[in-house]
Amino acid sequence: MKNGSSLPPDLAGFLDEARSGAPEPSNALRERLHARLQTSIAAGTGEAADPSADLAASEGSAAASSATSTTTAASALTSTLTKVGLVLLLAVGGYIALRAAAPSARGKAAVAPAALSKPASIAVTSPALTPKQEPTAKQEPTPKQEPTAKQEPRRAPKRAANQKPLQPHTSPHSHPVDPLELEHAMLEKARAQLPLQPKIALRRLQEHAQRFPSGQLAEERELLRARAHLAAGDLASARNVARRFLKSFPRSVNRREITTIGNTP
Amino acid sequence: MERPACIDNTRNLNFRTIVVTDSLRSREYRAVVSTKPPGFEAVYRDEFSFVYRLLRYLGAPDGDVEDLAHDVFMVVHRRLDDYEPTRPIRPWLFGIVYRTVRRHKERQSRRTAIDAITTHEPQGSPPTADTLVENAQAWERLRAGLQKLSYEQRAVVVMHDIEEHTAPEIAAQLEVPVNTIYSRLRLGRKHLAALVGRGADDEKR
Repeated sequence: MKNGSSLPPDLAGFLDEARSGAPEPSNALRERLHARLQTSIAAGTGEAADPSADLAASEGSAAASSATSTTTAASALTSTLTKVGLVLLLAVGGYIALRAAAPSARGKAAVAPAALSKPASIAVTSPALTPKQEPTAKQEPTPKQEPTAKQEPRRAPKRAANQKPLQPHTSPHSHPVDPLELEHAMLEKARAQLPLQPKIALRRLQEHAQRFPSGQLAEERELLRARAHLAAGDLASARNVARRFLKSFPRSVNRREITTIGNTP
Repeated sequence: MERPACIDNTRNLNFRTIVVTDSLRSREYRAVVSTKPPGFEAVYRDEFSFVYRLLRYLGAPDGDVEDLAHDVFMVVHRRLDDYEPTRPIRPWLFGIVYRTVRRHKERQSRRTAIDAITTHEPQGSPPTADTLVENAQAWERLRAGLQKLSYEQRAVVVMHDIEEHTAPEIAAQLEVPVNTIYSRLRLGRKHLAALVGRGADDEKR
């Protein structure tokens, strides 16, 4: 099997069996869908059953055309800013609507902080954070302490030097958890929050950096960190992270995107 | 890695000579590839089965496979000019399918869990011999196991171990580092092996 040299033979055999058993689409389905596509294409609009399909695909268009992906960072920024703008618009609209619906001063006071505090509560509530991680969560910087472009180059090596190698993580039930699982969970959280809550994503990434300074997913963390700074509009920090990334991971498949971020004026 | 046929047609503007690395044999060789994007009809004809298979592996509910395939090919039609014809088309299609299914799942998850395995796809070819029945059962077990993996791990296991594409190809489509792909692969294999009752303890990567 191509690329599958490290696949356990038992699992490889099972996958071969299963692959042989995969049902093929019927000709009727193939023809029906073909006719449907022709109608949609002729209509010119796409008439997609899933209206967001094109949006979903365009998210990866830069990667698809990697040879011409010099505008990745710019389009990501535009996309993020659009989303942020939409959220702000909705938030302001919602706030005005709530004010109108709750005329008493007490009502107004109750609604606004609740709406504003929601992201903060998301930041400290994570299934990935087990009790063992709580001390780290408490130490995490507040938004005002978000690492700046000047702070990061000094602090990152210090953390890396002081941090112990990653230890196997254990749950309250003393069931060992693969540290890689935890790394994945932390980065997935950050990735999910990155488009709309880049500052919270940055805090997640900082947590990861503290816990796994030289973890297996350090490259991805730094990539996400550059994207998050860009999404947050902090171009100077994004550039700094990007430049450090290129020094640390010169052969990364993401170097084009990172180079574009590093060269952002 | 299969070696593409070498066609001496370099004077034709629609072809280009590229160097292909055969990582298994640590050798490089030259290949002539088309630089002209394939037509939509050709992509549909040649890759419909791949898209259909991928949709099902990634967890598209049986009842939605046709609609999702429609969406995927509409995107293919719109974005075919973005495809770099000197690269394999399947990783590019994978990127589209991956995002289409993920978006669908995000919407569906607000209403119901869609990862529940449903019955056999009625359009599928019915097995007629014992071996086919066993393979079909293995496929159902595989599909059930895959649905229990995280979406990211599932996609990597499917593309790498089942569809046999390289980690760099997958990484380029998902816009993540290659190390991340290998990590997802390692975790995905470990979980899948446990789910289908095949050991992966000796797996190193």
